[in-house]
Amino acid sequence: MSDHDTEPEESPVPARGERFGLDLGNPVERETAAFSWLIVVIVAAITVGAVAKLVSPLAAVIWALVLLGIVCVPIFRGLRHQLGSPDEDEPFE
Amino acid sequence: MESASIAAHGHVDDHHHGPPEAHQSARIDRTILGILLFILSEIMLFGAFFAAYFFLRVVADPASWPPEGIELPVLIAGINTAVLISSSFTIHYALEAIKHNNHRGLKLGLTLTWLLGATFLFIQINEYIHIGFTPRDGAFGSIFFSLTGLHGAHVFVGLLLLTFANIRAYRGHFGPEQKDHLGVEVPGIYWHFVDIMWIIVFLAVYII
Repeated sequence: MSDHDTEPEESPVPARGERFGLDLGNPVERETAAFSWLIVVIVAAITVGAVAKLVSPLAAVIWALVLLGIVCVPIFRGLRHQLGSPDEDEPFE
Repeated sequence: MESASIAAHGHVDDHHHGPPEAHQSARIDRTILGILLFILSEIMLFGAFFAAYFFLRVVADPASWPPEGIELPVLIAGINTAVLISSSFTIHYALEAIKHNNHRGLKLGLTLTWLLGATFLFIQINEYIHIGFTPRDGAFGSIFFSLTGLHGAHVFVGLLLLTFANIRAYRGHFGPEQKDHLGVEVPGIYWHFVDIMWIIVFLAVYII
């Protein structure tokens, strides 16, 4: 059996980010994931707009940065899983 | 030479011609990596404009932002936002339709998406004409037209992609298999990205 016939190992990190009935996976891989992220952004934008109107623009900016930080965690984890490390690449022949 | 090749690989490769296939990461497909890098570069481009916007806003006197005499048409921009968000729903509908082999739904969804995108651009150009200030009217005018204009340029590119997708849909080029509707899926991903960027622009410029 050659190297090309070897099945890739299953990763403990799920490739598809199914959460709250939305496909929050990699948005550049599937349109459904991009659409789900759009829904998330719309909901987040409504909360930021509400904070801007009810509290202050500065509070809205801080809230937006907090939301951005929360979203960055799954994005970073997903990218780390998908891109991997150069050490894990197949040997260059 | 041929015997050396047989010895190295254990079999004769009669079909392969030309240079060997390019080496790539074992974990990510090169086309996905290309789209990913493109989107990341776009985020950085928009990020530079947002940084300029918030820098100008922070250094400006809060009472003079927007400057006196400038009234932004929040209601019209809000309606325009609804139009653009609707277009994301229609392109999603188009893609779901072709996944179920519904060509009529695909054509309907793509046509509606194009029309809604064109409506957004038309309303934005109309807003520019009637807004009452120009890019030369101070820092606010410059950054307002730069940020919304940058986004408008992206909508224009998206409309070009949708034009090609529409032409191909009416010619029956797409099918339910994933490889057969990439011509809708990739413009769809781009369109959602443009939509997300507009939501952030609308929030930053018109609401906050």
